[in-house]
Parts: sequence; structure tokens; C-alpha cells
Amino acid sequence: MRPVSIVGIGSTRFGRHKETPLDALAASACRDALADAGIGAPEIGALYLGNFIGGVLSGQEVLAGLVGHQLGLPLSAPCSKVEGACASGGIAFRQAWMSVAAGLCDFAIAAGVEKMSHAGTARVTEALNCAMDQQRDGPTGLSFPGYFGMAARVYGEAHAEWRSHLTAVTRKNKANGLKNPLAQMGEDVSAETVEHSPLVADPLRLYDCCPISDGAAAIVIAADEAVKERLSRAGAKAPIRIAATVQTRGAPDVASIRNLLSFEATVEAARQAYRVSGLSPSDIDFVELHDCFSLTEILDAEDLGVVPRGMAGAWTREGRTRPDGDMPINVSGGLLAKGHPVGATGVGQLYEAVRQLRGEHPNPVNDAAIGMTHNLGGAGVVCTVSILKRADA
Amino acid sequence: MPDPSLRPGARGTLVSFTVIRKAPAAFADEPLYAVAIVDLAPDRGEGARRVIGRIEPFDPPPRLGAAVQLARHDRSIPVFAPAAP
Repeated sequence: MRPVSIVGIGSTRFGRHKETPLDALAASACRDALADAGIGAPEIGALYLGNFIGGVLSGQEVLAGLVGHQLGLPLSAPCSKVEGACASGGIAFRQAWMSVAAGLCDFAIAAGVEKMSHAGTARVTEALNCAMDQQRDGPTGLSFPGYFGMAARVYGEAHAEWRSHLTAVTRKNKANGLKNPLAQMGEDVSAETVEHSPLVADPLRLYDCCPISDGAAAIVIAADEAVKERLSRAGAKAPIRIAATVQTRGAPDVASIRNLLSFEATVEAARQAYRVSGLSPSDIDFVELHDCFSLTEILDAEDLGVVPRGMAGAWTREGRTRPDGDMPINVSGGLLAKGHPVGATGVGQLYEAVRQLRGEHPNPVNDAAIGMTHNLGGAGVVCTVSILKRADA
Repeated sequence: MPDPSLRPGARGTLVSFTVIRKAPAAFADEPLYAVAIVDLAPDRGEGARRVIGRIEPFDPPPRLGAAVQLARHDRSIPVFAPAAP
């Protein structure tokens, strides 16, 4: 595999995009990424597009072909939609990386898109349930908030102060979201508001859950040998190196999950990402991780090894995961505040990490040189972890 | 189809549960219900295993680790209740 970097990024705001069709939303993020890279559509050799429920909620498939057409990609460029529930975007990124790293093409686009806000909560909840085992889990009436509610109850047995841990995650991410112009719902929210919001799936409340979102994000990746000559051009932004991007699988149904406080897919993905990159948790300057629920951030941080096992709740409450803390987590606002247009989320995390590493993020982490992203599908049936590095790191 | 290896009265312990207050569309018309994870004790040739189902009643909330038993099947869903002492 040859060295590969990110050379362009684009993203719509996460939130509501009622009037914009799915393909146009994705194409707009892709155009921004191409412009940012200074690369023309005819140079792109492949497009991978993460999307989860476009078929169910909008009746639209072959999205990657629609987007490729809008962009004017060459007829020789394969355009493929990839699906892995909420990790679809992370998977798209890894597929695009594989194409370039393997030498099949020099430039590729990884994008993600989702539109959800036009459907009501019950329809969205049902659509998201497509990521559930429909023989065992679906028939019980379980929802994803429900799975994480069951996990939160187990967490509460281990941590008497569980409620304050979860509240601290929500308050931090909502505060971070206020500084991110792409975020759907940043907020300076009190503990009282969080803890008196309506129950969704006991003991999780509305403020423990990410919002229903529309949005798209895109990344242009390039072989390092193909961009050397471009870098001498005036105004070219420094490429961000892809030190690792890995994908793992995990339990597909609830009864196969032995420990509700950990995802084996995340633990394995982190292990592989550290191995491939030759880095360790202490090298990581910040993490964008999959906080679909407040509890999930705590479990993810511990699974990724960036916070000691059992300590993530306390660390959050002590402010150690804030942008100025020991291990900044979800400086973008995360899924809880930036939003969770499911197919776009993984690509959106990479967008945020690149801005951070370029030193242009609106909510900066001081001297950030190495960042990690983590995208989780379903209740841990699939996971992607990537590590990005500044070229001088 | 109910799991034929799950016999009425099968005993286990409650791993966790939640009350679903925002149900998926197909369940939106049902009265409030609680989904549960149960670790079944070994029984008549079946080893210990984990299953998902529902628990009734759930108010007051049952304790995690409580002894439960299979009360009935609702469609294909095993429904558990506190175990008789």
C-alpha cells in the first residue's frame, strides 16, 4: 500500500435541508471538497458514498451514480454506495483510501449523505431499526435508544454517579457545538434541563440522544506521489496524512453482546489502528468519536484506550475531555450537538479532524498534530477507526 | 415463531431492561412496554444462554440480577416475569 493523504474537504451544515434532494446535498459537499483540493472532477478515479436509509425514507437508491453524474466524474470512475448503518461514512472513507492506496487510482472521493428530518420520529426510529437483527431484536419493539438505555442501566450499577457522568457529556458537547457553525444544535444547557428532559428509553432522556439530522460531507484523498508537484503551487493546503483507517465487525444482535459496557468492534479497531500507525493512545491529541448517546461517548473513549477503563465519566465531569483538557473529545460538538445524518457522520468526523489538524477549526485544540476518528454502526456490528496526522508530525 | 427450546417457566436472571417511550412505527400503538435481556440458566440439555424479550410488570422497576421466569410468548417474543419464590 502506498502513502495516501487527505487533500480536500467539504461539508454542508448538519440540520434541516428540506428543500435539497439527497443527491444534490451530497454533490454540494463533494464540489466543496474538490474546490478545497484544487482538483477537477475529471481527475477523480472513484467515488464511495456512505448512505444508510435513503432507500427507506426517500425511496432513492443508486445514489452514488446520481452524485457522480452531477459532479461530471469520468465514466471510468466506479461510483458505489456503501452501507454499514451509522458507520456507512467511515466505511466509504476506508473504501476510497483502499482504491488509492492500492494504486487503482490517484484521486478518490469519500462522501456521506443522509436526509431524515422530513420523516417523523416513529418512522425514523423504525428506519434506523434496519440496523437491527430482525429475527431476534426487531420483533421485541427495541429501538436504538432502547439498547443504549439497557446499557446505561448496567452502567448505573457500576457507577453510583452515572447521571452526572452522562449529563457532563451532553453539556460539554452542546457547549462545543455552539462554537461550530456546522452544528445543528449547540446549546449552553443546564444540568437541570438535561436531567428533567422527557424519558426516551429509561434511563436515557431526550438530552442523552443525538438529534435527527440532514447533511452531507466529502473528502478528497490522493496518493502522496500524485500531489507532490501540486504542493509547490501557491495557496495549496498541506495534505493530512492517513496514518491508519481500519474496519472491524462485532456482535450483530443484542444477546450476542456479552458486556454491555464495551463494543468489541471498537476495541479491535483501536488495536488495529494503533498497530498499523505505530502510534499509541498517548500520541493522540484529540478524538472525534461516535456519541450517538451520552453514554456511548463514555464507552467509546474507554474502548479506544484514550481514557483509562472506568474513568471516562469522571474525566468528563472534571473537564478533562474539553478542548483544553488532557484528551479533547468531540470538540466539534459530536453527534449530540453537531448532529447525526447517519450516512454522513463518519465523513463529517474526518472533516472536523482535518480542520483541526490544519489549524483552522473554530473550536481549536492547541497544537493538534494527530487526531483519531471513530464511527460505530448499529449496536457495534461494524466499526471504523482512522488516525490522521499533520505532515510534519 | 416462538423459540421451541424456551419452555414456559424457564428461569434466568435479569441482565438489563428499558421502557421504550418512543417506539418504532410498527409498535407505536402498543401500550408502554419494557424490553429486557435475560441470562437463562442451563435447562434440560440447553446450556446457559442470553436472550432478548420483554419483562412485565416493569413498574416498580425490577432490580438487575433479579430472578425471572418465562411467563408466556407474545407473538414470537418471550415475556418474562419475576420468578416465583
